[in-house]
Amino acid sequence: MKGLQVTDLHVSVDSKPILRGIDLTVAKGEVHAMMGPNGSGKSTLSLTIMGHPRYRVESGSVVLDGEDLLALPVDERAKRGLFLAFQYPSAIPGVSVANFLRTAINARRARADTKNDMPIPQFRKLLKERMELLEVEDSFLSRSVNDGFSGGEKKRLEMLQMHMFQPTMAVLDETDSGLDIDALKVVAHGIEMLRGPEVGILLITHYERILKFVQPDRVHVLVDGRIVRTGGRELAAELEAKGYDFIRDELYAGKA
Amino acid sequence: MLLPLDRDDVERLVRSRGEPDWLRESRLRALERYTPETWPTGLEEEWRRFPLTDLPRTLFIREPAGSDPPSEYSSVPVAAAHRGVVFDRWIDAVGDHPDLVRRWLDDGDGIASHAAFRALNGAAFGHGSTFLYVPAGVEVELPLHVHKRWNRSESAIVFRTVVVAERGSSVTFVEELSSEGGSSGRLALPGLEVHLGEGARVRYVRIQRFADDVWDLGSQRYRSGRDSSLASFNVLVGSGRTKMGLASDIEGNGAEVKLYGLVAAAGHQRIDVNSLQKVDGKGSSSDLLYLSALYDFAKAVYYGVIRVEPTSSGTGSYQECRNMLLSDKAGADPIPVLEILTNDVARCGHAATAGALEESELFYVMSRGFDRASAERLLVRGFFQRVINNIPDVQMRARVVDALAPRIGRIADIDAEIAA
Repeated sequence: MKGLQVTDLHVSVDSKPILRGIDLTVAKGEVHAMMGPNGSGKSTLSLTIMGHPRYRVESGSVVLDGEDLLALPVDERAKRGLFLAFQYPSAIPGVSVANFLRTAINARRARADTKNDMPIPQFRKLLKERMELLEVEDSFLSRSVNDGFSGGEKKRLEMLQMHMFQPTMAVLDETDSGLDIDALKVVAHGIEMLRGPEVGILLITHYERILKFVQPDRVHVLVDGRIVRTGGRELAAELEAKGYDFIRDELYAGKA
Repeated sequence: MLLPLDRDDVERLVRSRGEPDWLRESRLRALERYTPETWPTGLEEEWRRFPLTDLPRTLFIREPAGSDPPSEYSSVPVAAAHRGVVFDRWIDAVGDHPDLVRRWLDDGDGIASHAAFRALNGAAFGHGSTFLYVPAGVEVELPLHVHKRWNRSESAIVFRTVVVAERGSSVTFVEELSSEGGSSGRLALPGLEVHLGEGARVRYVRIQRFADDVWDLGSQRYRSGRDSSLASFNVLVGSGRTKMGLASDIEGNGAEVKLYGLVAAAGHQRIDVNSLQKVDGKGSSSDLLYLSALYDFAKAVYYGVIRVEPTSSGTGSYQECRNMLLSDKAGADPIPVLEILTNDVARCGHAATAGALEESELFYVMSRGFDRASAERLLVRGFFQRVINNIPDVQMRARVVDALAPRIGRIADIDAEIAA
């Protein structure tokens, strides 16, 4: 099976259960939106898939292209084609964007005991192409990674990285939060430009508004650590109209 | 307890080097200053945390045969040589320019509790000593460079480097120090004196890569004249134990002093720095920035004082010491002290930190495909960049990065290539 398969995933943070049995399949070529209110476990899901040490997998599995991701360290997951666009990207003072991208690409290409650096002209060509695609200004390259970046600039850099590393499975963790409409369009454009038969995309979001620009194949609703509804694009519109409460009310109606 | 050095040792050194009387007398005066009272008691703030109990006891003041240490001096550009620039081994400068060297013999004072080691240096300095003189108004455009390598030996490494930049002159000087390891303990006493005349501009880079059998108890002293500009960089990578005493005096209005340091230590290395920034004159400034990356069991203690003199006005000064701990067994203790003896100060402050890398930063970097070690290297390299950025010359920067590579590793440094 090509793509991402999450099966009965239970995750806790500091001994507190957050995800309580997630089942999710994102096939190559598909775009899935994962929506949910604050505290539902959206970021936990994305950070667990990437391998953040703070998130403890109690049971279940995460498989990418048939390979058990949970057995792999963070960097190996990246090398297998997984990319996470962060909600809060870290600043790396003293390391320029250009240097970071180049070093990262070479780190990903390296195999045991052998370097396999991308030749500089090839790197430069790729960079130029991707920067044009995402309308990133040249001045970006010499600035330190995310250091003093505005919210919009950080998201733009996440998109540039996503396009430089050419993942086969991209998870975007609330990449659309806190953006003005122009920045939102940049992110949406970045996602649309990545979309293709060889790439699966999981777009995690609180708001429906980015789905005005990105057409998801499936929409999931995450509440209290469980996927409670799955549907097509109309589900997102319904959520936008009624808010998350209606789902909660529905969910807990029988148990009151 | 004093290390053994007596008059006979000094006389023998003078004879073997064929030195003139004035130099012999200067050495004997230094020997007189080398008294039990000057030896650290261990109670001084500078020495409380740096026990000398295991200090190698042999000074072994013996002139090795041949040209040990092998040193490579870059040559002085012809035009500068014609205008009187001297850049040479001390022994040759004494022969060729005795009156000049004699004028700059007085090494003055520095941090009080380091006096014994300065006196030892003044009495016993030998092979590896350098004299650099830039006459008034001469600008040496290319950096001057010397690499001093000591072969394997028990013999102490005692040398003196004097840099004189006369009024309105300018020079950049890189001094690299390295040694072959394998002895059971070896003392190094590198002495550095830098004199900046009115309006002079000096950039000094020290790259210390001594082997881990070396105890480095070096001193540095900078004297800045009116409107002069100094930037010094100490890149401390080597030695088992280092205790550097660095004193900077401002002796005129409008002088600018920048003291930078990069410490990268691993294993059981112990790298300590003491500084004394004396700030005087009108509108002068003195800023210190030391950054350490500490691996394994390495430790770094920084204890430094800024003294803003009562005769000064409108000066600015700062002390910043930041330590990155790359192991939970590594440790750092940055201790800044300000003594402000006037109300007329434009700015004066300090910042001191010691801490591990942020786990969230490491995770972010690793998620881009870096294994943990590479991610750490990238973050340390970024951390050091604040100092590396200030190194004035591309080739010098490359040398510094090369020297750091065994500790902090290498990351691509290709901004220039991409921009091209």
